[in-house]
Amino acid sequence: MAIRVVPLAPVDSQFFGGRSELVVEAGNLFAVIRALEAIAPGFLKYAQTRAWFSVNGAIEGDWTATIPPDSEVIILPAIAGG
Amino acid sequence: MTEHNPLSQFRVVGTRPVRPDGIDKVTGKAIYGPDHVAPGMIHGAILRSPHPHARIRSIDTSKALALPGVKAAVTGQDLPHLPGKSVSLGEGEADLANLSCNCLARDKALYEGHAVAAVAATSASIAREALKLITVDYEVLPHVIDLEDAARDDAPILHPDLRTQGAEEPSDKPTNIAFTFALKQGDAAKALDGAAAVASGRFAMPPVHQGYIEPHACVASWNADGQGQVWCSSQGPFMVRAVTAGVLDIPVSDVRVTPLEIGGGFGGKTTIYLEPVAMLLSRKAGRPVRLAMSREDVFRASGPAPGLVVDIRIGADAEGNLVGIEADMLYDAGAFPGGGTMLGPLVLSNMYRYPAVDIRTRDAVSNKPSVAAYRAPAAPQITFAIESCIDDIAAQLGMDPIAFRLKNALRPGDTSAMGMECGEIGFVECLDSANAQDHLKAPLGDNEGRGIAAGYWINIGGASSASVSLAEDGSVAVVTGNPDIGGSRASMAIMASERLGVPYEKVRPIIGDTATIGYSVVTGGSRTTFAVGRAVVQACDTIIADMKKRAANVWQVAEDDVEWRNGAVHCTAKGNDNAPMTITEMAENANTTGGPIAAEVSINPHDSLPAYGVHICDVAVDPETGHVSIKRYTVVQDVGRAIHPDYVEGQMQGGAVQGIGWALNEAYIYNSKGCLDNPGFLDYRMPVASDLPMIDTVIVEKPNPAHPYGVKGVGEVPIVPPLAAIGNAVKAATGKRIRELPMSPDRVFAAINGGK
Repeated sequence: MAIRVVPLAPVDSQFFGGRSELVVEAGNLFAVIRALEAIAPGFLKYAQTRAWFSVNGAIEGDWTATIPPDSEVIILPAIAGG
Repeated sequence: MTEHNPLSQFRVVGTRPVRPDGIDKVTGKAIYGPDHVAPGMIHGAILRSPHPHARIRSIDTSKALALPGVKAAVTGQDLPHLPGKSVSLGEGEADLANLSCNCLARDKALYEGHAVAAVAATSASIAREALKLITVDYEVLPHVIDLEDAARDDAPILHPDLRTQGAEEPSDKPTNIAFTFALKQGDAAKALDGAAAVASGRFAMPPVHQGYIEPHACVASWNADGQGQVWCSSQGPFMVRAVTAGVLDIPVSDVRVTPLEIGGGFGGKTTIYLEPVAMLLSRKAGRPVRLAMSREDVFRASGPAPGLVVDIRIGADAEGNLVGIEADMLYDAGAFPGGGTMLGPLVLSNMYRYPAVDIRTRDAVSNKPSVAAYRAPAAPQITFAIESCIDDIAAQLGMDPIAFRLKNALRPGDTSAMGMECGEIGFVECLDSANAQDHLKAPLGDNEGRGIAAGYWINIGGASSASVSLAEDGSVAVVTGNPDIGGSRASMAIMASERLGVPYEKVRPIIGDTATIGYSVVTGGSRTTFAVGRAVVQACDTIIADMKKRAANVWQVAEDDVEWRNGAVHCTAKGNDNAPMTITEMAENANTTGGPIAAEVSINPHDSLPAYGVHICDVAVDPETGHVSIKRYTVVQDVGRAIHPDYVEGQMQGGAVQGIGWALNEAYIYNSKGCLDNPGFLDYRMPVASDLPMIDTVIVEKPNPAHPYGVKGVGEVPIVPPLAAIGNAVKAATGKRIRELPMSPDRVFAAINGGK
């Protein structure tokens, strides 16, 4: 299943050579992140501690949840509150 | 005036029972961070840099150690060197090298007040005397305090190895710019050039402190078996455990953190300053050690909210539709990277519909204390600029400011510029409610003006644990791992009472230590009643299911033939006349039906919903002095559902008051030597009760479908609108747009008098 991945800064330049969009085959976020780790080694560690993932506009914290085909995954920096 | 018209389908949710922590607090029995005493405890003290930027050539503690009563001394060299190491905090990560260097400077002091050495002695006075005997050989370096100066290419460099993250064209040149982020959609410049109305300007504001009454304090004990214990007040004992273990490079399981009562945090206690130092001193001394900051220490060395300079341009067409926004933001990170850079664009893109967006944001390090979270981090600053411009555009178009906001507000089903889908948000409902307030119709006097402004905050979820257990008499213990900074004990007790059908007074909410309850991220991000509350309700549901199963076994019927209502199990099997069993009876018989009745639930929800608020403010401006006084103030806010409305109103009022202080009074004032000139509440002027009218509150309830009772989160968004609401009111009173904070009398007087 093709998933469109949109890495926002600083992930785009830090891991993906400034690419604004990637397409990976995946059925959940674990598979997305594995695919991205294969492209950019080190991304997995970053993803575990510093990223949030928005799937079709909603933050998804469960990486095992099924992602529908043709979904959009946006990689956001993790956001903390006060 | 308070307005709350609860949807009355609940028995306890939405009522105002007595708070569980009240008696201890008003009788002085509550144990705060600086109060805790451990057997055999000795007293620590910290030596702080008098220079804003200096290389530390050497530190000699030998004379201090020779002073009778001194048991230990430590410097940054006693902490492990941890380059590149970080630790996950659940809602982000902490850079351990920077945290370690902030706790005790390693090679350089990066701000006045930076900790450089510490001692522990048998009395606090001996410890203070010992500090005078420590010799530090400094090489004083050029410093930079001003944010824009820090961002210049020729600025003194704080961290020679710092390179800008997120830059389109990475450079190997040392810089103070830690991070940059850009977001572009459409052609904002073209849209704004063709707009019928445009508002623009440079807005600037300095760092401000959270102003919590209780200073940072802890007691640490590192036992001979390698096990450490820390007692402290914080917004998260698991955060303290993770970063203390991380900075000391020891297993997390070797540190147990017990939370004490917290005397205010507002985001400023989502990090640490003292705990690893107290642990080191304890290990060397073989005794528990207390470290506590003074008020001066708090101002000089703990994290304020970042300052911001932003150039912004927003435009609309002749019909009042926004056409685009440009913003170039520079946040102040203080001594270490992390100025909340991403949060500015998040806020900016989640209020209104903009067809074209061109945003850049950066943060820069400077020789000031490293910034920390403060209620809706980074949002009040950028909202001051946005909502000032929105008001100016409405005025240019001759539109009512609320009608203009309503025309452009994000609604459910919209997608923000950052790709976040808007769920059941209540921005429109807040604007409608504000529009209906009598406040808007009240007459104004001479030199008075009225302003309104809106605000957004994301609210977060995250890892949360709760346990619920029945005592033998059916009373209930609810244990969570989240310190109570805004009424969470009461709200947890209310939700458990509602769910279990037991009286509120029979529920005892407790904040556990890191060894007694599962992991939870900090109390922050307006997340606790939403996320931890959901864990409490799920734990209640688990024991209800357990009791239904036990009742089915007792009655010899199918589980489907047992119902839970009004705090009792009921048998619904046909032809069965079993009397209901109350929760008390179930608890009394627990040991004959399978053992104790208890459940612990750990969850990680991320389907929280943002909060929106709209504030209405009347000011009077004294034309002879420039002094601005608040005459009337109304806070309208969508909270999803108010579990305990007193606390909700208190949060709304408290946030508004902190925002009023930010707008009118508060600023760090540095002298030419880079030293803070106002490190105390006499000179750092926070509002007090006599400065303020009653802050009226209007609770709007548009429930969050992802929470069993509809909670969205309350605590942060009320600090967001006041800066612009007051700015808009001052403009209405004087005709002058003030773009720099605080709007202190001299600044307002100068604006009224053409800069004189």
